[in-house]
Amino acid sequence: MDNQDNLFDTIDNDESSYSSLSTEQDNSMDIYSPFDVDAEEWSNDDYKWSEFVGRIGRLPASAQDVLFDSNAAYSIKDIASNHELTEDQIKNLSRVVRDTILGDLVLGEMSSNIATKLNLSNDIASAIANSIISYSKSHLKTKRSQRNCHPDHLYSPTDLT
Amino acid sequence: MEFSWSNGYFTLDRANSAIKMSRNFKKYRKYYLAILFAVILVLLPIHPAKAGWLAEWTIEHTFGYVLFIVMSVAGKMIGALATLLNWAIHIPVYPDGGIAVIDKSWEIMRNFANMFFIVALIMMAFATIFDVLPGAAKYNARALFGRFLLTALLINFSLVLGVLVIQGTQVLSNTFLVAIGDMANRLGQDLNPSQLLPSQSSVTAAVSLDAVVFGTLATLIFSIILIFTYLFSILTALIFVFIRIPILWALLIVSPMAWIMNVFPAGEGTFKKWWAIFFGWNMFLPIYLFFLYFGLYFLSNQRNIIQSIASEVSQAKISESLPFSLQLVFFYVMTAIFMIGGTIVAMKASMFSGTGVVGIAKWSRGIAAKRLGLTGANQAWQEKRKEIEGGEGRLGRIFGGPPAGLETSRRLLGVQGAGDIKPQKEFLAKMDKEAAVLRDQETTGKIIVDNTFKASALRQGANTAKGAAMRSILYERGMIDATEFDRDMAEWTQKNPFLAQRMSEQAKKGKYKKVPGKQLNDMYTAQAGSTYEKYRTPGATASRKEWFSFAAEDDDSLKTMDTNNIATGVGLHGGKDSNDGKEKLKTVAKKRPDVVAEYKLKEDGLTTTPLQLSRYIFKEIKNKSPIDLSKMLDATWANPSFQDALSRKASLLQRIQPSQPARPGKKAVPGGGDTFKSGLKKAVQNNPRKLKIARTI
Repeated sequence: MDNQDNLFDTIDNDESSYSSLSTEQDNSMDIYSPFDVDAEEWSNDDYKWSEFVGRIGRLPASAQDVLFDSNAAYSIKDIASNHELTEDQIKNLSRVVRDTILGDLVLGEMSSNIATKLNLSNDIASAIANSIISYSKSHLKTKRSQRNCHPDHLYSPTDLT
Repeated sequence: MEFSWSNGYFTLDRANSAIKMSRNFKKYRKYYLAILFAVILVLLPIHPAKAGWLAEWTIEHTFGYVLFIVMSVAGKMIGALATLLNWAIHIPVYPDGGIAVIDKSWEIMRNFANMFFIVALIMMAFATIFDVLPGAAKYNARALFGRFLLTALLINFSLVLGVLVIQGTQVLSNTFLVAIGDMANRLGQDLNPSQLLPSQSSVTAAVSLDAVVFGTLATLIFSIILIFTYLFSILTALIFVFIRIPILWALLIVSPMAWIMNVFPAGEGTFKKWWAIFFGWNMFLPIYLFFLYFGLYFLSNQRNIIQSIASEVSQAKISESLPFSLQLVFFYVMTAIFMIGGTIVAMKASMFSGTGVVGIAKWSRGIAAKRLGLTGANQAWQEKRKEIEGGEGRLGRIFGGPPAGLETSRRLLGVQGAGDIKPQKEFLAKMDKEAAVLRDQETTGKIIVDNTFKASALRQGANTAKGAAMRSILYERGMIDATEFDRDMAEWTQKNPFLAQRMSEQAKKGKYKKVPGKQLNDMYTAQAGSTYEKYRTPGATASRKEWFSFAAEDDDSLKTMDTNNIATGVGLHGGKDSNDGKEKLKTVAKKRPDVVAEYKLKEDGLTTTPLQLSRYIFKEIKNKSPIDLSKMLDATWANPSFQDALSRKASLLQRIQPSQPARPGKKAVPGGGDTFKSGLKKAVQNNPRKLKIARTI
């Protein structure tokens, strides 16, 4: 960790090292993220974007966490990988999760929604839904314990100070 | 209603009216009699009084006798005191042959004082050895040795030096003594208040009227007052002339002790005080003699004055001229003022203020003034005078305030923001008091701080205590707009920098609500050639610092803040290398790291390229959490170099902590960059513009 800190402290002093840091946007994870899946498209429309952001702002904090958390995207990636989902199916899965969080879809109907939107059998859809819900539960538990232990550092995982 | 016998009948109604009238006459009888007496007095021909035998006897044997005794006793006393004073002022304090008691006593004192040189040497030795002790430095050999040697030498000449001062002032006294001559004789000859008494030789109408209107009781009272004034003035002078001799002797005797005190830093004040008292008592006589000479000179020329008054009065018609006695009284009053004033001035000028003598004099004067109500009147006048001088009220606006052209002259002479500190601070204290009163009035509901209050405040001058106090409250509440703020500050920074600074602090409490951030930035920057160049003065420095301190934390100011603003603001706080300057940069960087980075880039002499700027911004944000970053202003987020720095930060974090794919039994773990990005998105989720940018890094 010390080496990492040193790297952070010294990289800005060396112009060539600094310029070697990539600034290219990595969008590969966007399809797995309930927030990012359509964000690219919506952000080009100010009205749509503001409405979307406004709706997120009105959600409870725990729901917002799921929407933005990179762990959620990686969990969906795991699920997609386990069930060998195509890119379109992955996008639709992310959308179902997002719409369920936003309240457009009913949580109790997640399994059927997945089955419909992803064109999957009920068994697979049910398994995917269970995985997502179990992730959410464990995520909430983790968040709760994190909140109790580190109330100030919940959103500062990269804070090097 | 009136009595009427026209028809020969006296009716009941008329009778009742008559009874009522009679009652009224009894009730107001004394007034009717007084009016009748006055009418008779006015109508009677004016001529010298020819009272009856009883009145003549009363005046001649009772009133005249008492007056004779009073005047005779007072006159004899004046004569005796004048003779004594004449003798006292000719006594030499230290005759040529010396005075045995002083010489011997001085020797004893000097020998005693010499012992303290050993004490001084020991003290210096200790202070030199233990130089590290706080406060020891002023007692060490290096600090005291010069003074020690000088005192060791001069202590043996302390008597000679003292006598030298006495003889020096004696030379001055002798000059006046020669000019005055026999003071007692001159005072006795020239001072003749009996001339004020009524005379039977009054022949003209004017003199007769003078005698009637003024010449009796008033003249007598004035004569008595004047005689006693002279008496007390001579008595006071005599007492001081007398007691100065033993006091000067005593001071001469203790002079070695005063000199030895000069060796010790703590005794320096005593040494100076000894000299002040010694000089004071020496200077009393020459100064007093000067005024005595002046008073006698004035008195000796009275014949000319009396003759001219007499000729004017004898030729005058009634009511054409002032009465003879009144003019003479005025002349004697003037003489008395010279003589009494002379004693007072001599006392003050000879530095008696430090001694108890003046204290007692002040006390007795205070008691008398209090009884007469003069103290109250004086206090009221002093308060009014201060008010006028401060430029307050109607009279203050006409006669008060600073002299015309003061500011122009100051500017011409380069005395910018000048003025005495003490009155400026006193003004502040006065303003605070006024503000406290206003706050109390607001609490008790007597005033309401609203637009009416504001209008009233603006009508008052900004440099009057009340006007400033009212403004202070408005500043605190953020009720002063941009133009008013600029106008007030332009005046205060010139006239009273302390007030300007205080008001800036007050404005900070009100968050400069009506002052745009851009204006505030321009004001502390005071760019040459701009409207706000006027703040480029020493008197405005403290206020400009206050303005920048506020701007460094104010979003509205930070929004428009540029490197020029920062350079000036940090410069006011001692530059980028001073602790204060660094702190200010840190504060600004919390919201505007991009501008701070650009400022530092320029300070380092580097060209501002996007990459360089990004690198410098990275330095500012590398340790910032997503929440800290989310608080940065939109202007910063919109800066491409800032976005670049964020991307590089995410990239670096990902490099340090790469993501881990899912493995059997283990879930996939996001990388450091992933977590940073998701944290950032979550932190800025309420700001669509920032969220949009956060998505793209």
